[in-house]
Amino acid sequence: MKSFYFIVLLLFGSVLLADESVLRWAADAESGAPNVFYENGDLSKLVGFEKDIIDYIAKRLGRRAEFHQNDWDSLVSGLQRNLYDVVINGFSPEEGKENSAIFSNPYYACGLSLIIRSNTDNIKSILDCSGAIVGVLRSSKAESVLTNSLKDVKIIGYPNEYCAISDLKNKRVDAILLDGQIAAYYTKKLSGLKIIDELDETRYSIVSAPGNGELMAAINGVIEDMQRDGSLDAIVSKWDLHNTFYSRLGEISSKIETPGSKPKSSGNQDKSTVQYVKVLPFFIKAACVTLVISILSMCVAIVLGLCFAIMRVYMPKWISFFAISMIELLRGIPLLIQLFFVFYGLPCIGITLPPLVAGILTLGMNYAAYEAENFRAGMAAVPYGQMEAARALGMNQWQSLRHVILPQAFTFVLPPLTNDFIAILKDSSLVSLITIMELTKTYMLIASNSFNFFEMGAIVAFIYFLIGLPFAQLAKLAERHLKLEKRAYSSRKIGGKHNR
Amino acid sequence: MSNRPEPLISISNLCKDYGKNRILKHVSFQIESGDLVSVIGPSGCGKSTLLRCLNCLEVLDDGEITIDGVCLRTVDHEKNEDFFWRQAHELRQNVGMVFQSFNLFPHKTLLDNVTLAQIVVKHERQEKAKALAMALLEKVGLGNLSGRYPWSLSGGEKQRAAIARALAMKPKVMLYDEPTSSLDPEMVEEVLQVMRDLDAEGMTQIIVTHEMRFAKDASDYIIYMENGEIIEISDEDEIFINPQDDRTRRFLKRYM
Ligand SMILES: Nc1ncnc2c1ncn2[C@@H]1O[C@H](COP(=O)(O)OP(=O)(O)O)[C@@H](O)[C@H]1O
Ligand SMILES: [Mg+2]
Repeated sequence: MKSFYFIVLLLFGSVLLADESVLRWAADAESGAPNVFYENGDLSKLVGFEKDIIDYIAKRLGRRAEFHQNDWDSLVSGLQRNLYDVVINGFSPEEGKENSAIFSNPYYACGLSLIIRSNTDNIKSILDCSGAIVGVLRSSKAESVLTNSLKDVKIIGYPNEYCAISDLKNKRVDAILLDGQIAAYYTKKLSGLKIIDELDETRYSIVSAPGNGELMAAINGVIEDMQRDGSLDAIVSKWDLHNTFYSRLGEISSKIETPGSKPKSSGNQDKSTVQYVKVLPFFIKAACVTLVISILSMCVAIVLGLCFAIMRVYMPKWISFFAISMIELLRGIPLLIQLFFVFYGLPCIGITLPPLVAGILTLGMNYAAYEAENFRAGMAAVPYGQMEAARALGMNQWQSLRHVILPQAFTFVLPPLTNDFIAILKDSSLVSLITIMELTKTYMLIASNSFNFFEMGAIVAFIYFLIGLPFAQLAKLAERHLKLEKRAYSSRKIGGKHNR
Repeated sequence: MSNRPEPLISISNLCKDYGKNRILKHVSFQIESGDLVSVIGPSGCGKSTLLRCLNCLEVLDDGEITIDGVCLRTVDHEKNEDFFWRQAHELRQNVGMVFQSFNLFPHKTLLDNVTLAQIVVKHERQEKAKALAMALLEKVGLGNLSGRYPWSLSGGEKQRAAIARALAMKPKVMLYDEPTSSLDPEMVEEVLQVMRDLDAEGMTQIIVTHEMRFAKDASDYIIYMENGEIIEISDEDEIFINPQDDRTRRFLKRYM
């Protein structure tokens, strides 16, 4: 087991041990502008005002900042899993996570902005939203404000800003309530939208796990310094994020306007700036991750599935019962729940698996249930006379299985096996939810940051197709082979009494 | 045929049940080394079951089987189940079996069909196993087909290969369950000839068959079964010329 970990470590270079000289920080860069995002979908260019802040803090702490991508919904869980030290991603202390996380002093504050389509005229303020459909970010301040202050408003929670704004443009919602600077960024970036109302204040804090009190104190010290010496203001100015709420927050800081360089991203959205050549290496790397995960998961599924099938068919009753229960259990529970259980649940009882191992094991175990049934059908398709002939030659049960039954069963199993591989290839996109940057996640990141879901989607679809193609061919080949075998079987008569 | 006082195979009081049905009812007989014995009888009378019991493919319910000094009784009579199966395994080492439906391994060439059990069960070295396999395939007239797969062979060739496969384990007794019943008539003779050759070499053989002419010409004696019982054991000519039992007479009338 140890050497297995080691190989995984070597292969993917994931650093598991907390290194004092590194400050591991996390955010969700999926449509994360202007907080943390990839400029124009270029995955080598992570930018954002929160990135500038954490880089500055890390430098002051004498540490190297190291970015970890995670889904917004799982950011805090990742802290408890010790995947990284801190989260900086627009979190406010009010969001009821006090016992599972600690929060720094606020580094930014803003209001909540209501965005509507430019041509909407029946909504003039938040109060007009009664009876309307309003989009918010899932579990954000905006969501709680809206729930508490307005009756009969239909709230739709989104996983990221881009989805919310797309739905607004596509008229699936009437308005959206977002943090001020995010709303400002998108209304500038995309045409046809306007901000009409600003209300309530939300303050941003850096989040860490409850055990990291010392680190948090140090960070608070740096934030105070930054407010005092104007470096925080400089970053906020650079991203053009000043507002009244923020000014009130930094009462003590002397207001020295440092011009700084404006972010390079221009307001108008030019498709030609999306350099396909540039995104390709990221897609290829992600495709490799997807392929490796799929292949290793399939190996786990085949080995485990074969064990279950043999246990079920050939072993004593209680072992057979165990195998059946495992198969039904693994088949019956949604893959997503199994994934979260293994990744976030098992650490509670002391089993902490690296993301890749957790992902491969979960996918593999889930598919093992299906493969077990495939193998069982395959073994049943081998005529009973084969087992008898092997036993009559003096082979024991295991030898008969190994040399006579399984090789024949395998040819029956190959076609459904290749089909399942293509299915696992697609299901592997779920492991992006436990911080693995595979193909689907890479697509989401690039597309949401370059506002180009269509063409990037075409690229990623094509890559999935390309990966699956050889295996689809393999399935065809196996089927041809099987037909040949079938002919062989049909050419001989089978004595009924020998086939129990 | 043998000077040995002890018979090679000795079966006494053998009983076999399927559920509540008693299929074999107190079957007893003895066979000496080198004998060729034919078992005949109407369909469903328990001939296959008898052979399968001799090869431990079925577990007997009463009585005992002794083959070459290895004695097997029912599970209850042995010290424990483990011992029973060890005994069964040892007994099976001395017995080769040929099936009506050949049951060759379709994923292996003829040569590999014959070497497999040698290598897996007896841990024979590859070259040695191959040499014996080739010799046996030559013997049954398939030396030039050793690289072919079973599906590319005729029925007679398949059955001869199956005999070679069983012989490779160097059994003291060969059991055949209707070896020619699923063959086209013109292929029957080539398989029967192999058995005659083996008889000439002194192999002990028990053959369940409907080939009455073969039974009559080649057998040392014939066992007639009906309803799970042995009705008559007789010298080859006697049973055809002068059956002792009415039931035997009725059965033979249909075949002769
Ligand atoms: N596995 C089984 N389960 C129940 N009954 C069986 C089984 N195998 C054979 N029988 C019954 O045992 C009897 C003898 O069968 P068998 O020995 O195959 O007859 P045959 O003399 O034709 O070879 C038949 O009545 C058959 O129905
Ligand atoms: Mg039969």
